[in-house]
Amino acid sequence: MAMAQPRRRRSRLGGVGWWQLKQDPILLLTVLLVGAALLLFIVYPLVRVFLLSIKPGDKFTVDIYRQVLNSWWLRQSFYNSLLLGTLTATFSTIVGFIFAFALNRTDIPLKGVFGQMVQLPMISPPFMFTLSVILLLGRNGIVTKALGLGNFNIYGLNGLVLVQTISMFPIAFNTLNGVLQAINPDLEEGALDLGASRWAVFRNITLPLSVPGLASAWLLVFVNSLADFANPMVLGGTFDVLSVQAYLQFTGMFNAPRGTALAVMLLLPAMTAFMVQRYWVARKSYVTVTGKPSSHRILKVSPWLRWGLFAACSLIILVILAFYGTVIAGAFVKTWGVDFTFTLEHWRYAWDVGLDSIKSTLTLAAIATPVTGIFAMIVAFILVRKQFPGKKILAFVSMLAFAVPGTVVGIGYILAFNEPPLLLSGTALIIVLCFVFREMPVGIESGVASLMQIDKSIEEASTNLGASSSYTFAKITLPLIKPAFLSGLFFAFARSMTAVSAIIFLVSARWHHLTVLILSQTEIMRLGAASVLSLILIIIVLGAFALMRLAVGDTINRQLAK
Amino acid sequence: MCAQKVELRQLVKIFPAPGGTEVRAVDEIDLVIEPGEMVTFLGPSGCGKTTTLRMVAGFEMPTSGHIFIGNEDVSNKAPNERDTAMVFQSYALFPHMTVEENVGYGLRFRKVSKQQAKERVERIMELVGLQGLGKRAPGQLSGGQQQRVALARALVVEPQVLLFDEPLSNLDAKLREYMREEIRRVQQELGITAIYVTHDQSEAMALSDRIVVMNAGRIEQVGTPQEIYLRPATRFVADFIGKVNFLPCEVVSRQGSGALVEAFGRQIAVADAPELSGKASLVVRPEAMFLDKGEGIPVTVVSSVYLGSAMEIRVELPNGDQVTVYKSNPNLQEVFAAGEQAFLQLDSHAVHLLPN
Repeated sequence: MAMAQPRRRRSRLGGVGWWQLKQDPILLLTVLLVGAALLLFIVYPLVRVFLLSIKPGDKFTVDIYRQVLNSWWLRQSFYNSLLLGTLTATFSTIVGFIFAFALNRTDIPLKGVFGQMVQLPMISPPFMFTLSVILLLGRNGIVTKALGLGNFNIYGLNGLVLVQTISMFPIAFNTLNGVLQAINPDLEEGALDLGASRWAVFRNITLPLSVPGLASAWLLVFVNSLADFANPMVLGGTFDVLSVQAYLQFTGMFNAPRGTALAVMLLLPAMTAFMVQRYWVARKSYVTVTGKPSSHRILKVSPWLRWGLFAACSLIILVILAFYGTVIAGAFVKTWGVDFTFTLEHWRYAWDVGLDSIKSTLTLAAIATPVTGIFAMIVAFILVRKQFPGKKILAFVSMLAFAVPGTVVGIGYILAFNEPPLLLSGTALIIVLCFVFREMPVGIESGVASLMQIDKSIEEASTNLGASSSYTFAKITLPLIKPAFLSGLFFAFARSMTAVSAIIFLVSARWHHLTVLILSQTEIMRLGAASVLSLILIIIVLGAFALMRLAVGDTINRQLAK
Repeated sequence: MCAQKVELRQLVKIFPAPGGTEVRAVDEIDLVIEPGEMVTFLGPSGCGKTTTLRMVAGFEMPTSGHIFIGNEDVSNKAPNERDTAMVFQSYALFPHMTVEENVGYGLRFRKVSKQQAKERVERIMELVGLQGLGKRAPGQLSGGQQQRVALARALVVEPQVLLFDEPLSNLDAKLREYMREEIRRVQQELGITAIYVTHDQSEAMALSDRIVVMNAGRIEQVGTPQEIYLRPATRFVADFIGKVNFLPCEVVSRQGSGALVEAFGRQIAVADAPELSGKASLVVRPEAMFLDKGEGIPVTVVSSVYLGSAMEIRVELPNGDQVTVYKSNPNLQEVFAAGEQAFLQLDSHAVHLLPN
């Protein structure tokens, strides 16, 4: 029996890599540790969420779900989430494609500026645009007042679609940008050469080849919109969505089982969309996005289209800049909408209430960032370079954080780490762990992408000359993927600084987070203070971005110099 | 299909280069390609051959000069308004369309009925040997088959000019030789005007009616493969096409269209020589020389390499220069070992004279 056991497993897993694990004890240890960590900090909390929803008392029951589905307003928040996700995803994909097409396939002016500006929402605090929308279009908003729109109500679906589209279209843009870059221009030139008009080339070649990319972009934004917590929390008004309801039920109403049921209902569409994107759409793709753009050539487009695209891109960028400008202005005026005299009062107030939060947020992010970066690179390395049983499962679980809404994670962490031996709630550690396992997938993805481009023989040469696999990783691989590593670090930091949906469950009096503070200031309509704190957050993130650019640029420059 | 003449007049293409400078990629090219002719642009990378081809297709606009197809000046026309069809180096097959759809794509933009289009696609697929593969996706085909699809897609629109941009460089050596014969066969069968770009001289020799050797944006020589090989107009051409030896010599006198020259104390008659006097270079291919035990220019064998079909022998001339001699179909009795003394003889019909 004891003999039969491993043999059976071997055949089930195809025997892949068992020998390599035995040969390489460090790899074995790494795989075991990574696997255990992922299991404990990603899978286990989800299991706890699901368990509570079907076993609120002593026995298993579906009563909670029945209650939820019978209550029209909870049912409504499910539909609302899907509606919001659909609209945001559709608009974001359209805007993202316009940008990607304009920047890749035309020679509109200011392409470089547009390319930089478009990333601005990616590093902004999640509900900064909500704040500016309230300042502009809210009840005391300057646009509302200037146009005399007394009864205008931005709270609800319209405002949310606007805010989410502005903050999430860069996700669609980045996906589609990669796709358009990877389409060989020969294909379009070939069609043109055979007599197709510019429009026919677009219709017959560019667009069909982009369809999988468009679907990917749509699904990614959809998942993000579902997961968004802060914007609907502040700007939702009577428009209830699942992420907010799950939070309110779990914390506000102390109805934990119902909160978990809502969380599961939120998780299902998000997971479905994510799986469809990753395992179906991505496979239908005609182009493999390698990160190596094919040679850049531009086909002539009509001046009408060229200027039309330029106008569209400019408009979006101007809206983003106007939103930023509004928050800056909001930080310096006395009472927005009533008294526009200059004041530094908000800064003093924000300093008083926010200093501790700023310190603790920085501390937490600063601890989490390097851990995330190194952990992500290790996972990326073993995924790309090593063979071991269970690799596909490990890859799947490590990417799960892309799919699981923060609200679900937050609830899961509270449930999972609230009792000994894993009594972590209220500590800094729980927040750091949450950061690490939520921000890790970005680092893994960039690590995997850059590792794929490094010839395996470089590492083989190192081991061939006598280096161990861990030495090779540290001295050969890591330096080669330094740019990916640094940008992974930066995004881990930026996302840790701006996270809110999961963190709101985990903060404590001792360990607070700046975004949670901004959220509460916005809710009590202290918009000036919220603006100041948002600005501080942006400045910190931009500072980190500049540092990363400096470090990456330095690496690249040195490589060029050689 | 009506084959058309292609004419390039004073064609110039200047690209801006970093640092505010500019690159003259194509520098005042004049060329007439006759209807039904297959002309190859041959040259090292960066010589301007691909840019010229892309200007004919309309992907690049000339900085100055004109391109005529037939009697029409197409210099400022968009690619889709020109009746050209290109076979790309990458094949550029549309991955989301079947082989049939790929081949028939260009017919969508020509006044051809569905039925006619279907027949033409079938006929062309048969011509290039793709019968029965119409429903496949391009990704399911081998490299050679993809190449045929690319060729069929260009041929089916019966273009006035067929353009090839290094179409065989992604195939392995055997397939490359086979496909170049196929391309030549189809081109001749259809009598279509074609421009072919390559840096592979054997491809150029095998395919072309005429070869245009380009260097640094300019035409070095235009001629049939034989003219280019046997009568290179410049040292660049001589050196670029095949192996070549340059022997220093001095022109003694002219004899009709030829000349009598002296090299290493021996007089050699050159059958066809340009008007030169004084010091010059004898251009001799390795296979136009042989080693003799008794008479000729005294040389020392430096090395000899057995290649199966030939023996490649390096010898040192009295002035210290080294030249290469091919002995084709070598047998064991005629082995020259390193260090051995021998005498070099030239085939006077196959030597050519160039200025120094």
